[in-house]
This record gives sequence, C-alpha cells and structure tokens, in this order.
Amino acid sequence: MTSAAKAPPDAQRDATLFQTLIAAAVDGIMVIDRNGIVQVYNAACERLFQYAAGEVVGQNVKMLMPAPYREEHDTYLDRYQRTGQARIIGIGRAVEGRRKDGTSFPMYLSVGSGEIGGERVFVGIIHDLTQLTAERQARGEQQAYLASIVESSNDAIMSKTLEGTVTSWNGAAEAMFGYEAADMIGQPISVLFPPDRLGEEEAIVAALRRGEKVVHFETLRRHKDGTDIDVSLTISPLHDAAGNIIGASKTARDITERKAADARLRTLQNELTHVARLNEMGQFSAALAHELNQPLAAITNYLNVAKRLFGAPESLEKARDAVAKAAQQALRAGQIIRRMRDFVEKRDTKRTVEDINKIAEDAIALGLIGAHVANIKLTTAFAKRPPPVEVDRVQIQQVMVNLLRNASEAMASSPRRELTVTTAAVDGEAVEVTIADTGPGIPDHVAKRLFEPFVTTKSGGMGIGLAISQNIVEAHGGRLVMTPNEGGGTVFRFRLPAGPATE
Amino acid sequence: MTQEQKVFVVDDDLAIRDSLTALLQASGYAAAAYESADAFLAGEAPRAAGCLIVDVRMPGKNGLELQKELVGLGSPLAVIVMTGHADIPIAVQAMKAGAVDFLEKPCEESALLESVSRAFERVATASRHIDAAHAVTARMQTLTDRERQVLDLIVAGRANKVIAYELDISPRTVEIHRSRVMEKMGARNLADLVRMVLTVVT
Repeated sequence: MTSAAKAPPDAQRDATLFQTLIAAAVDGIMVIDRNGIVQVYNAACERLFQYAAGEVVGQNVKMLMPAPYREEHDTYLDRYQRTGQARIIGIGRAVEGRRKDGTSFPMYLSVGSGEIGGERVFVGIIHDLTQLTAERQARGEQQAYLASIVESSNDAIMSKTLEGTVTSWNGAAEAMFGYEAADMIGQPISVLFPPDRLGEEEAIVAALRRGEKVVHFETLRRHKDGTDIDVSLTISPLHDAAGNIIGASKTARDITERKAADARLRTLQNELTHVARLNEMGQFSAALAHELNQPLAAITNYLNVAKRLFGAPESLEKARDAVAKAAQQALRAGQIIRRMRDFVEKRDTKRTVEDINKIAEDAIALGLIGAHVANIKLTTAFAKRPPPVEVDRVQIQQVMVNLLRNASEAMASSPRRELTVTTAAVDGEAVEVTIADTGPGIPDHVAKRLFEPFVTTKSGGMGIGLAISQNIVEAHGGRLVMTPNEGGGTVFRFRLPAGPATE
Repeated sequence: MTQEQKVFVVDDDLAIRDSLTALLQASGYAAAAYESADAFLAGEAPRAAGCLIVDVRMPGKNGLELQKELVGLGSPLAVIVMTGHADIPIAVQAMKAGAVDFLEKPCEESALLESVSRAFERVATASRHIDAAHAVTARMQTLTDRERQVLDLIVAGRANKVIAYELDISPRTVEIHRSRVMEKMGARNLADLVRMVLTVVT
C-alpha cells in the first residue's frame, strides 16, 4: 500500500481499473494495431482460443481465424484504411473463431476503433455463441420436426389470420382442395367456401375472437375443380407471445367416405326395418285376408241382391239400399288396405309432428286384426291432449304393432286375455306408451336376451321384431323396457320426447 | 217350391249377416241370422231340417266347433262352411265332419246357391230316409212275436227248414208266418224285405 500511495493517485487508479476490467471480463477483449498485430489479449480470450497471451500478443490476429476469414482479413483491414468502408467496425457480426487445437467455434465479434498515441487501433469484444448456437439449432430441428409432422399429416392443416388470409397450407391441404400452398398463402380462405356456406365464416371468427375452439364442425368445402367435399373442421385460435388472438389454425378431415358409409348404413337399417314390417304383416296375413274378404263378400252379396231386384220395379228401393250398403263395404275394404299400404310401403325415414293417440289408434286397428276372434279384451286409456311428438309415424306404429301382436299371441292359450294400451304425458316433456298383457309372462332366460336379434320363441318368427323395435325407439331418443305385469303377464313401455308444438 | 226352405246364417260380421240374408231371401229362401254359435244353439234352429251357413273365424265357438256340436246333437241341418281365408287343413276338417261344401269369401252367387240347393237335396234325401225308416218301424210293430222271430231269421239268411228246426215248428207253419210277414211289411220280394229291415237296424 505504501508504494500505491506514492504513485499519482488518478493514473494509478485508472491503470488498476483497466487491468481489472480486462481480466474480469467474461467476454474476450483484444486490441490490435493497424496491421493486425495483437496488442492486448485478455484472460477470457485465453479460455476461448486456448492460446496463452504470450503466444498471441505480437502476432497477427489472423491466427485466431479459420478459413475463409483468415484470408480475407488483410484485404479487409486494407480496404477500411483506404476507403473507410466498414463491414464490421462499429457494428459487429457473428463469425467463427479458431482454437489452438484447430477447431472452430461460433462467436459474436464487435469491433470498435480508436487511437493510442496517434496510431489507429481496433478493439474487439468477443462473445462466445457456442451454447446459443446449439440451442438455436435444437430449436430449429424441433421446428423442422413439427413442420414435417404437419406436412405429412393426412388431415389438411392450414392457418389464417382473423381477417381470413391464409398463412400456411400443408401438403394434405393441397391434395384435399387442389390448390398449391403458393396459390393459397396470402389468399382469402373464403375461396374454399361454397357460396351458401359463406355465412359460416362469420360465426367461426366470432367464436375464435372469444378464444373458443370449433371442434368437429361438419360442413362442405369446395375443391378447386368445383366439387364439394364433406369435411370435419377443427379450428383453434392462435395467440402471439402477449396472448393476443392473431389468427387460427384449421384442420380439415375429408369425411366423404364416412358420410357415404353412414348413408349406406342408414339405407340398410331402413331396409331391415322395412323387412321387419313385411315380416310382421306376413305373420297375420291369414287374419288380414279374412278381414279384407269380409267386406268384399258383403259387397258381392249386396250387388247380387241388387241385380235380382232391379228387374222388378216394385223392389227398386230395396235394390238401391243394397247398392248403397255395398258402397259402404267398399270403403271399409279400402280403409283396411290404406292402413296396410302405409305400413308395408318401402320408404325413407321421415319425422313429422304427430299425436301419439292417433298413432296408437292406427296401430291397434292394424295390429289387432283378428284379435276379436281370439277373444282378446282390449282396454285403452289415452292421455287427454298429450304433447305432440316429432317422430317417424310408420316406425312408431311398427313398434306398437309388434308389441300388440306379441301380446295377443302370448295370450292365445291363457284363461285371461286382457290387453291394455295406455298413453300418458310425462311432465309435459315426454309421452309414455304402455302395452300390458295377461299372458304367461316371459321366462328369465329369454328376458335377458329379449332385444337381441334372432332370439325367438315363435316357430314362424324371424326374431327381429323386438330388436328392430328397440332400435326404432332408441333412434327416437327413448328406450323400450319390459317388466312383468303384476297380475301375471308382461308390460312393455317406451317414452318419446315431446316434439315442437304444432302451433 | 212346395214349402219354404230355411237357411240359417251364423257370422260375427254384421255386413255379412245382412247381405247374405238379403241374397238368400231374394233367391227365394227363408233366412235367419245369428251373430254367434251360442246364440244359434240357444234357439230351436239346430233341430230344424234346413241349411246352415257358418263362418269359421268367430269369437267364442268357431264354425268348426259349432259343426261338431251339431253332429253330436244329431241335428238334421246340412252345413256349409264359409271363411274369409281358406286353408286346406280347415277345409279337410270341415268336409270330414260332414259339411256339404266349403266356400271362400267372397264367392260367386252361383257357387253359393248351388251349395245351398245341394244342401237341401241332402236334407230331402235324409228326410226321405227318415220317413221310410219310420214306415218300416211302424209296420214291424204290427208283427206278432212269432212273426218277428221268423223275420229276424229270414234277414239272417236262414232257409225255411232251418227256421222250422230252430223254432221247433213245422216247415209248413214257417211258410204261413213268412207269407204273413211279407204281406204285413208290404215287401214285394225277399230282397225288398231285407233292405227294409236293414234301413231300420243301421
């Protein structure tokens, strides 16, 4: 301390400060003269380049540079001194350094120039970029990886701004819609919309602005060639670093095939349902023929009576009466055929607003043909003004006909043959139909598999009636259930949700 | 028609009852209709000599059950079975039980009326048989015990000598009884006598 006290206080302090600064700096600090000869080379430089200061000071700085920087350096210094044109001085840039062992490393070099004793010198600050570069490279690989996932996806993946301008477009999108990425990026996404679907974009954007996702939205989009494609869209908002919604990512799946498969399945189900109805009718064709032949026989008789009586003027009145009665019977036959025709007709599913009591009446008229001959006593208890239901009338009729036929057949050899059909409103939200018989009931082992297809206890039956009935009721949002009747026999019950009001 | 022939109709269908009776009446028959087998059985009709048209499918007793019951009662009615849906087992059953005919609704007027007229022929034949049997029975009641013994042995195919031996009388006496029997029974010859007696016995 005594020697320090002797030195001029300011100069000594400056020198100490300079030394400390140079030695403690984490970044490398170098000073070279106008010819490139190293004047100052700090401890950080020693760590970075692996050369000791003694090996570098007094040497040309080029030794610390790998090709091609090494070769360029003289030219560069030369040009700067002649023209003042700087490519690095006062700016800095990322370059490579060369270690003593010959390996290179990335570094950021900033160079400033100054003068010492009238001589121009350059000060270089060297920041090691090894770790940063490694991280950046890893990030780049990750991005490339993600990009390749996006690119190889079978789903079309696109992104767009909130204004609807396309910002990315993967290979599947090219294949699905026929537009190349180059065609689409920067273009409005609305070119994919069939004209009648343009309104959808507004609702989608509104959802995105609220930060919501649109999931599995099934709609149509238009291919470049003008054909429409069934697609399922999932659209999610994209955020910037500050969390602002700046656009959306959109994945589209081509569901044309699935839609076609669905349609085929629906057609098959429809056909099976139809076959079940035909089968149902087949089961009571004898009763039906009898029912239809009654009015036909009566018509024949009445007309034969009339034919005889028209001959005698005094019996014209009687003849006219017979003809009038024949006409009534023809109407009766027509009504039977009408009910039957509706029932057996091959048709597509069609939901209409219906009165459950009317459906029940028709089902009873059809399902209980010939039942009076079997001495079955029918009791009906219909709800007064039940809420309307939106159903496929013929299918619900089919369910009831099936249940009524099953019930009457079950009771064929029972001492008590009472059939009760009830309709009831349930809290104004649903209607419930109940069909109760006094037959022998259903044994437990059959009850377990009751609604499975091809399970039957009837010799002439296909065993599809109840399975189809359950299917129909479920498609209407209900469920068909069987419970034992308290006094013996079976109760079937199903509910249908109340549909829109008729007014 | 010397006397009115009566046709009974049993069918649960009002229109069938009404139209069928109208047609039968227009064709010159007397007709009466019943809505069930039990309603029909409750009256005098089952004992009448006439024709019954009955539907197979009815609540309560069906047509075939009614037919069977009438046979059991020894009813003289000729039965026509009718149905809206004919199947062979039912037809066979009806014909075996003695139905005159089996008709499917609707049927032609001519077919119906032919069946009805055939039914009345059968009724007439049956009643002629009944009348003849009644007559034979009445004549047989005029025979003495000895004459009745001789008749039974004649019908059994015995010769006069055998009859004389069995009854322990002279062949001459047998001959006298035999001619008295032929006379009382009104038989022209032996074959006639045998046929008469057989109608009563069977």
